[in-house]
This record gives sequence, structure tokens and C-alpha cells, in this order.
Amino acid sequence: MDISNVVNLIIFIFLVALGYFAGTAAEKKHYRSIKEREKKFLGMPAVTIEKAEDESGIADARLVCGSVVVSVDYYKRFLAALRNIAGGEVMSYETLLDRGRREAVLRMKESAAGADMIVNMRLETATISGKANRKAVGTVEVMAYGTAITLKR
Amino acid sequence: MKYEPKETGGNVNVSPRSPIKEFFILVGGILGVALAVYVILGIAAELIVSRLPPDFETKLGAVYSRAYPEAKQRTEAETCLQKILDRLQEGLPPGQRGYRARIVQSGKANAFAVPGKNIVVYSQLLKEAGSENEIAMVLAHEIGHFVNRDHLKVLGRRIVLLSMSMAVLGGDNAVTGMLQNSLFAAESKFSQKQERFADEFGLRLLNATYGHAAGAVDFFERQETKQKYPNFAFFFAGHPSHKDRINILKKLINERGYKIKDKIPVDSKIKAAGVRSF
Repeated sequence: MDISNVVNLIIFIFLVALGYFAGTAAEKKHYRSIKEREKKFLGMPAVTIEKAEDESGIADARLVCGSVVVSVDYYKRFLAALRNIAGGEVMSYETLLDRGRREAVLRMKESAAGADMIVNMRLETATISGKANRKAVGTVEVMAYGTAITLKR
Repeated sequence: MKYEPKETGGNVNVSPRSPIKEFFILVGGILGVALAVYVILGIAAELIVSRLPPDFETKLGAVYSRAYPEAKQRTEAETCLQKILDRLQEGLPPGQRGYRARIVQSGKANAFAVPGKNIVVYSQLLKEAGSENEIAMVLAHEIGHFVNRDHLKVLGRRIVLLSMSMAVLGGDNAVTGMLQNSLFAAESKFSQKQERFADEFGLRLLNATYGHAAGAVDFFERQETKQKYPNFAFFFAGHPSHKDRINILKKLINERGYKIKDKIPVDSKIKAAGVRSF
């Protein structure tokens, strides 16, 4: 092994460590904020039912959507790359997608301010990274959309 | 049905396992398997190399001659360098002779064994050299690598590493590309053991040829003063530090009672090769 390879290895270890500590800190902070806001919006249900039984009680209906783009850190990407070899559950991406879904639903609810509930809620995901370039950062977009309904008083 | 909002406890979508534990299991497992495969295939490659017929080396030499094309005519410096090499070769069994010295213009002070019994010496090394004995030691050291077939063993290990990298990371990976490039680069990095063997062989040949061991450590001493990295860095790099090599050589000279006599100055024609620029 050449000395320059040793330097490269040290840089790599540094990046993985940075990814781990920065990524974990960001994740914890995000989860705290998600839990807090979920509590706040507990009174606004978001359901996947397509149609209300009795439409006569609906005063207003409109499309609402919330979207979020989350990036994976170096440590998680490294862990996922290792999983690619061994196979199995890609644990490191679970929190990433979980945060993405919950954040998207929360933003959707935030945009539905004043409504009583959201029906026909759907979730979509898309990856944002150049297909040709394997070095592209793994980034995911999660979008939640649905029909916000305001009931007659 | 009345809607009663309530919080859900826990999170089924995220595994409760610790990511750190996951990291160590994966890294440990994959490294363990890779290391085992590398060691087994590496040993296999070395076993094959030691049993290869001598003319295989000549055939392989043809591949390398493209990277280091031979000049149509030997320069005066090369002829002089060849004379030093020929004098060393007289001490070898007749079947082991036939080494050729080549000078390549470069600002790096280095020399290396190229398959096909070619020893490439960079011009900078000749420019810096303080005596013929010093150059002879470098050449004898490279012959030591040939005798031990180190250059072929390294090649075998590189092929193993390359195929593993291709299998795991894919062909268009940066690591694979780097390994592919290094596969045909003759500036091989040998292990500590291989370097020690070549040092010892070189010392013995130098003493047998000149009748004394003066100049044996000169090259390493010059490199040590130019050394950019601290000594401990060499532990990780796999090849011995210059300081270690100097100490071992000096110890060997003492133990074997080799004499130290006057050094022969470097031929001005050889010096000229180092000064020439292009």
C-alpha cells in the first residue's frame, strides 16, 4: 500500500465519521420537530378513504400537497453500499424514508390550515440523482397529497 | 363513529437495531471474507509464480516494453551503467545472467525491476549518486527482486485484487480503474520482507563483486534526508522506512565482517545522463 492510499483511507474514515455524527445530530433534531408537530396536528386526520359517505355536509374541498427532499449522509450511504454486497434489510435508509414520509404528511397538513380533515391521501417518492453518474448523492423526494375537506358548521 | 385523535407509540417502520452495531457486523464480515479470499488467492499466485518457466518472464517482458520503449541506440550513459551491471552479473550463476540496464528520464530518484530482466533506473538517481558503489548497490538490490521473483508475485497479487474489486465494486469504479492502471506500472511496491531479502541479496552481491561493502547504505541515507513522512507512516505503508533499512544493512556489514574501502567515483558519462533534459 502506498502512503497516498493511507491518506485517502484517512480522508474516507473522516468522511464516514463526519457523516455519522452530523447525520445523527440532524436526524435527532428532525425527529424531535416531527413529533412535536404531529402532536399539534393530531386533530386533523389524514385518511386514504376516497369518498365521504355523505357529501352534503361538505362546505369546501381542495387539493393540498406537501413535499420534502431529504439527503442521505455519507455514513448511511456507506452502510447501504455494504448492504448491497451482503444483501438484506437496508436499515440505514429506513429512518431516511420514515422522516421523509412523516415530514411530507406534516407539510401537507400545514398547507391545509383551516380544513377539518384530509381524505384520499396518497404518498409518492422519487429519487433525485443522475442515473449515469454513480457518484451522485442519494437524495429522495417524498410527496404527500390529498383532498382537504371543510365541513359545514 | 366519533374520531378520537391519539398518538401512536413506537415506530414500526424503523428497525430498533443500532446503526453502529450494523456497521461493525457488515464491515467485519465483508473485510473478513475479502481478506480470506485475498490471502488464499495471493498464496496461490505466489506458488504459481515460483513454478513458472524462465521463458514466461521473457514473454511478459514484451508487454512491459511498450510502457518503457527501448531507444534504438544505447546512450553512452546506458553503456556505462550496463558495465557496472555486467560486473555484478559475473558473480551470479550463468543461468541467472542477462539483465539489462535502462535509463529513463525522470525527476524521481528511483530504480525498479521490470519483467523481462530489465532494470530501469531514473536519471535523477544517477545525478544524485555519490559513487559507482552506490549505483551498484541499487542494481544489485533490483537483481535481488528478480531472483526472488518479487515483481511477478506482486503482479499476481494485483491481478487478485483487481478481480476482487471488479466483482465487488464493478468495472467502472474509481478504485478498479486505479488498480487497472497500477497493474502494468512497473514501479511495484514490495512488502517489507521482500525489500529486506533484496537488500540482503544486494549487499552480498556488492561485497562479492567489489571485495568490500562501501556505498551500501548511501542511497538510503540520501533518501532518508529527503523523507517527507514520519517513520511511523511506513508501518502502515507496508514497506520499511529508510532508517530501518540502513540499520539492518549496517548490522549485516558488522556481523559478516565486510570491509569498507574507498569508493569508486561515478563515471562522468553516467552523470551526464542525469543532467540532460528533454
